[in-house]
Amino acid sequence: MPVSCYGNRQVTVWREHGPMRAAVLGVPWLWLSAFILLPFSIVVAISLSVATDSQPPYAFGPVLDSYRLIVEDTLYLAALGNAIRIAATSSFVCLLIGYPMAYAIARAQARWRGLLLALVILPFWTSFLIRIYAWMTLLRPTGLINQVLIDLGIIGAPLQLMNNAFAVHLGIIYAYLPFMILPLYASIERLDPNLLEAAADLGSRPWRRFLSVTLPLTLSGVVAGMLLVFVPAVGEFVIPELLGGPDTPMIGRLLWIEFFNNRDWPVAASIAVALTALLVVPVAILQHMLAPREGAREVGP
Amino acid sequence: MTTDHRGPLLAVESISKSFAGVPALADVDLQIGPGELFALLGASGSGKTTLLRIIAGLERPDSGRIRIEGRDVTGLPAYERPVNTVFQSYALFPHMTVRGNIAFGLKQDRLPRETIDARIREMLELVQMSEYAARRPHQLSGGQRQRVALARSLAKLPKLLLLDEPMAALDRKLREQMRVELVAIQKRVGITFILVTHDQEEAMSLAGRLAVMERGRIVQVGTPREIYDRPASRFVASFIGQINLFEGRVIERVGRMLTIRPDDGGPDIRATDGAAADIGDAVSVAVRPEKIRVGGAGPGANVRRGVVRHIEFLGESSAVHVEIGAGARVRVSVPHGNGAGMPSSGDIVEISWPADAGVVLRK
Repeated sequence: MPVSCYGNRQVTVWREHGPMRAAVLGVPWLWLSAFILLPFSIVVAISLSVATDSQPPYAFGPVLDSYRLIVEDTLYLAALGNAIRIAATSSFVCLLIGYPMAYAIARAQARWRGLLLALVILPFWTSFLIRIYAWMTLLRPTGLINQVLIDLGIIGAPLQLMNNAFAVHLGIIYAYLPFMILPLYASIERLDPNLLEAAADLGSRPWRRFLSVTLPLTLSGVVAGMLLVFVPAVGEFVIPELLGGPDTPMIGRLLWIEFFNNRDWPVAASIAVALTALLVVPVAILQHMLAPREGAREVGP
Repeated sequence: MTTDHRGPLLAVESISKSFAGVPALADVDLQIGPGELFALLGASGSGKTTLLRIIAGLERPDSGRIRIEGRDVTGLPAYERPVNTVFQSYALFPHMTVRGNIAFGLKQDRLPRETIDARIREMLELVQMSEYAARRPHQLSGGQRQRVALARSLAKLPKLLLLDEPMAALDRKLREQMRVELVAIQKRVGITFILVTHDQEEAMSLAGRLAVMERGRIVQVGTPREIYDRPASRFVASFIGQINLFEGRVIERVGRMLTIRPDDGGPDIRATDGAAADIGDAVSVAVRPEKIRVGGAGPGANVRRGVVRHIEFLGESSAVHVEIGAGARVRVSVPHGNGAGMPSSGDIVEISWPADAGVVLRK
């Protein structure tokens, strides 16, 4: 048949060579080059420069002075370790809160699911900054929480809820929880309920069923959620700035200070490069490890 | 109440179940003996899968009891019942190998490692999948997946194995092959199998006994032969195999022999009674196509005259469609034996069947 022949030929041409394929693949490449590769190269170049009082405030070396500084001065490593610790704890708590929520949404009646998901995303309608400020009004010594507790006679003096590690954790967990719930929801929703019935039928009790079937089959969602929370949380600046205190130096805040307060662009840039390298490598390894399993799941019965 | 081992292996006692007010099962009773290969046959929505799930413990009945070897298991969850299921979709664990799938149920019982390994080997041999032990489900064909699902469910040596439309996902040729194998495996392991199917051919060829279900009720239980030869209702008669129905009224009764006057004005039909019909009752006389002959009526046979309208070649036989009145057609199965005359389309023929070939069904 001439029509289907024509159709087939078009598909072949489109797939194997020709301008269409180049155009389709070219868009993301162009985007990545213009908005990630190029700016990142500039940042790398700045990190290899020397800080000056001129305009712009650096002179290209290339020298490794700024890297030497961030490795030798324990302030930076301590801030990095602190940031990683806070981000790791927060993503784990997000997982503990997010998994049951995602599970409940995925197993809710179909007509409720859309609404529940919308509620998860709803906070994004308000500016992130405003939401963190709202937490400040709740947490500060004269804030709502302390007021209520004092009025109820539960405490005599206001609790220190702000400008400490607790507040930073709270802020990060609050702000990033949706990023945990959404990928978890996607993977739990895809889980075939027949598999859980089969596990029960084979004598598996609810808790073992979760550990041996549900969790391994939603692991891709767990990993995606952990990364989506952990990676931005490590570099988080706003939350430690507004809710944190002197005992919670985080690398993102340090970067800000170097850049805007100290006007030491090379050191700020080298922190950014080091942070990116530190986060990209483990993420790439994780994705590589999960890739074959992900492909296998698509070929279902 | 008794725990007599000579009693039925499975007793379903007046089980009812509705979903959101819609009844799925209404007062179902059923008894299945040890070692049976039993089929639940019905159209979709007849409640057969719901009954299977209630036996498995995956669904709770609204009322009624399930007993296994006399023990009431109605309140037990699925994971505590000596019952395993082969799911229609097979439901193999995609993150485990074939071996891991078969080991799953055994590990739940915390059996010693050697026992588990030996049982896995035995099961892989039983379903002829030994070379595929290290494969993942997505690397297997449909037929192979089914074998793994079967091995996984049999590995725990349940008292009862439930199979939900086990052949539905297989193509026709494989289906016929698997039927033979399934019967052989059932004989070898000696475990009671209950199979749910909508395919009457499958139920008839596999099962020792079967139950026909219609709208949440069991309408007949018996061997395939009993159900084919003596269907209890018009529904069963038309659901299983091909059948001709002659509508009429009983006008005479001599012993078990009834005379029925057909509504279409044809000659009276004589048939042996299956349903205790009285004079004046409206009944259907059901006659299988292979019980009807073209021409050559014996003494006392029922005879109708008609025109051959259509002949379907079916291999071993042909289905001859004879029009005996306005729009009324009779299907006659004519074997392709030597000597048997095959009529041609347009021929005027006499068809006949003996009085004991017809089954009288009340409306």
